[in-house]
Amino acid sequence: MAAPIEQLWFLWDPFVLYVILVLLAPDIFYLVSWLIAPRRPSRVKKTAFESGQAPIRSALGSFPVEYFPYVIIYVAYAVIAILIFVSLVAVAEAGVTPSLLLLLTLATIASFYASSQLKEIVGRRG
Amino acid sequence: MIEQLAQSIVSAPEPIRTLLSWIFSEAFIKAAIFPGALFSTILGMFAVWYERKLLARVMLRVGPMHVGKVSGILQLIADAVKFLAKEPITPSSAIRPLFWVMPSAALLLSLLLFAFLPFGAGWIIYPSEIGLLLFFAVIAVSPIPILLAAYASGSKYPFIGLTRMALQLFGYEIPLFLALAGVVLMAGSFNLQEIVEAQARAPFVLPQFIGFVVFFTAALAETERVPFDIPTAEGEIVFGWQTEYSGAHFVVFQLAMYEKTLALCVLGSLLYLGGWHGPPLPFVPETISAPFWVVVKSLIVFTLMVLIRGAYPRLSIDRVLDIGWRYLIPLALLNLLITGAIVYFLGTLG
Amino acid sequence: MLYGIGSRSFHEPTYIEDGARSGAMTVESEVKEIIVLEGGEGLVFSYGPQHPGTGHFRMIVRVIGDTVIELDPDPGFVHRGEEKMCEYKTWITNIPHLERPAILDAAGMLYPYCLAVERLMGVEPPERAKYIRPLVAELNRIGSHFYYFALYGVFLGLTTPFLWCFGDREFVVDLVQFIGGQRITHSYLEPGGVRNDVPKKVPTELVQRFRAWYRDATGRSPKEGELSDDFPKYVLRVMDFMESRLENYKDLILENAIFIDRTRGVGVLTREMAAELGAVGVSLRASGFRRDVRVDEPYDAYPKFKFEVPVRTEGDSYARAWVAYEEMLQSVQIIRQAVEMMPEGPVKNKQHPINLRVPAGEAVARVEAAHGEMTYYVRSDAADRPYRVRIMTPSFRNLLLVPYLAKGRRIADIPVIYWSHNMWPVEWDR
Repeated sequence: MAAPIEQLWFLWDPFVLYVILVLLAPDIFYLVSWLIAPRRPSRVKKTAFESGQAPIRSALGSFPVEYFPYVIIYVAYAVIAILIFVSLVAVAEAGVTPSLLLLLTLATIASFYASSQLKEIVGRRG
Repeated sequence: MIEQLAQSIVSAPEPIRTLLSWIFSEAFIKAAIFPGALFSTILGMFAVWYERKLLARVMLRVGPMHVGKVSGILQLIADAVKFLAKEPITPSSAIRPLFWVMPSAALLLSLLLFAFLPFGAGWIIYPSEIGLLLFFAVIAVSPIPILLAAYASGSKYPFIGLTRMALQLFGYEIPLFLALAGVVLMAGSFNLQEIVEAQARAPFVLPQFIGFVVFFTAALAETERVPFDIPTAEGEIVFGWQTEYSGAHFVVFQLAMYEKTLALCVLGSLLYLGGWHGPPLPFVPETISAPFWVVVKSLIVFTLMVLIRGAYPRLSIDRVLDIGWRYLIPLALLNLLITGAIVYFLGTLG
Repeated sequence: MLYGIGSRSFHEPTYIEDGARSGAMTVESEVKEIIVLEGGEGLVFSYGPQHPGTGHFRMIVRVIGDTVIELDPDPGFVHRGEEKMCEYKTWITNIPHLERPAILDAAGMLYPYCLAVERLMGVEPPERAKYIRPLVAELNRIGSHFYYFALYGVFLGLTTPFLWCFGDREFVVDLVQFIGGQRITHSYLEPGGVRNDVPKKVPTELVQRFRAWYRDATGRSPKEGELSDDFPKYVLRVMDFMESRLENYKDLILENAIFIDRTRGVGVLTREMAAELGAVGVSLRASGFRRDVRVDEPYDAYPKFKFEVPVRTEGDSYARAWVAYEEMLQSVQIIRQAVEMMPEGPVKNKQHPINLRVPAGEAVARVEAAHGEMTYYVRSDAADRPYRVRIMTPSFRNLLLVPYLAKGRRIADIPVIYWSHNMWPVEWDR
């Protein structure tokens, strides 16, 4: 014991110690695997998996544009989520106010309306 | 006997005494044993065993039986050894550093969730005023290693899994957040310990049943469990984003997914089922009965997840997005409104 | 023809030797040769053969985003040359290998061969055999349909029906084993009858095993005296059990909200398409055609049985599952009647010599096998072996439907569309 344990501050903080242990956890698996697993790479083994066949063309495909409307909705709801988060911080300090209830009512009505309209925007089943 | 032991500790040479005092310190016990590394790993292993046994009951079979004599309790260790003894193959099309690091990163983020979860008054690794926010922040970040892992695989089925996961996981974070917001509104705090204390009289699942349903559905989707196992849909896209991972990488990823599931189950028990509030156990001190109730309640949530796996097939991605955006968000907002009204007109229930 | 199944020629497979450390040899298919899908935008990938969502064949799929633009099934991975093999084996030794293409449905595979050879020989099987053959064929149909639902669940991510089906199928398979001596490849049917008579008593172990499973599956023990080792009584009891279990399957599969959501409106085969593309089996009946060889061209004792041909008009994957489900119920009815109406008597005209000679001529016979209409064309030139045997399997005819139905669908629908036709890769490759 070269370094006295008292001087290593990180050993006395539960969170830091936990993070250290968590960082070590996968390494145990990799160490055991390194010790007992065979290592015989070959060209065929290293080809990308494609149902046992040689890969056809490149792997990078196109993003499913069918669901693009949802990405737009994400942006809209992200704003509402931030709004609600900010009001929650206010709630923690001042409690629920009528204006917050008004905001929530508006958001709820808007979301119900949006979800009823969304069906037409995102046509299901192509 | 104990006196002799204590005597020998006191009379032990200096470095060993310091080591012992470190081992019995709060930091070591919390980080390494109880809510920390050992406990979360054992809980994860127990969950896998429990899921197998319960699913076997649903499916009219017996499940693991032989390894470890009693009910195949050691089957998981046998499985882990089997996986670790397999060659981890890196495809030549993969981006190597990313491909190798991402399983560990995913496990790190999943296990990190346990640092913010209290298992009783004081049984928490990182007590914080904004514990729930920190938990949510880690949940929000946790898809990133998986996305990068899929991207780094350089293969087609992982790529399809990647696109599916990007759509699914980011789509279910807002409902999850809105469901959590209802709890914060009612408890008036982001501190998980205070949230549990606020449920001393009645668990939040009673006033916020809709919130619990939204939370549970979003948790299923976030952890990719049936019927939301679309990014890894076996039978459609082989194993989705995990297709190229084998051996130790695969074990680490699987463990990461189970730990994330369990962390969300524990969170569900803390937020909605009253956490450590439960009937007192005879002859058991509060410090032990509190974690006991948290674990039992978490396993109830987990049991629900397993039973759903036994009864429902996989949804399709368009339906999943439909449920997330068109049903869960309005329901979560409605729950928030109801909760706000209850708090405004009746005051906090705690 | 849009999709040339089997018309595409591949290069001779090139074997690549990979380094000194690995002596493994592998086949690298020539990607350039995929004519249909060459060029064009989107992501092209093979779907199978090493894929949990296909059998022993592959589909080359081109997708843009999540939409399938083209899908090209590529069978032939498990081709055995059954037809050519027939020309080198005698009329009797052909029996064991002819059932191999669909071992789940060995009776259905053999049935038309036996009928065709009987027509060539101009013989009729004895009355008792006319009941035993449908009995075994319907047992095989139930077993095969159990397999269908088992994998239908697995392809949709639900493993419960897989284990339920295999648990229940065990007792159908045990009955087949007990009648024919083998669980699946029983070679029980032969031209002019069946190989041996049905035993009178069921082994006690089988009854015990059934009792234990009955308790596990239903949660209650069968009543005293309900289970007997008398063959007809035991079969009737197993059929009652199957009927009650099928109620559970209805809850688990056909009335499961997510199952309905995943299959309804997916892979719609219209009545016109079904007629044009030559669909058979459940695919045809789910598209509004009341066609079943057992009714249209009845053979053996089928005209004496009372049963219905289930028909749906939607033509989607759900309708196909529904038709298969109803067929199982009808099979249970047929088995009950066959057991009850079975007359006493011999089960075959005479023991055939191994070098049986069949008079010259040609004959066609078809039956309703588990996967659909199964046709054999047999030609004899009075030798001790066939001159030509042509096998037309239902799976191959239904495979042709897949590209048309998958076009424009999501990737997630591919396994549903493929499997809902109740197909079997080995059967179409023969």
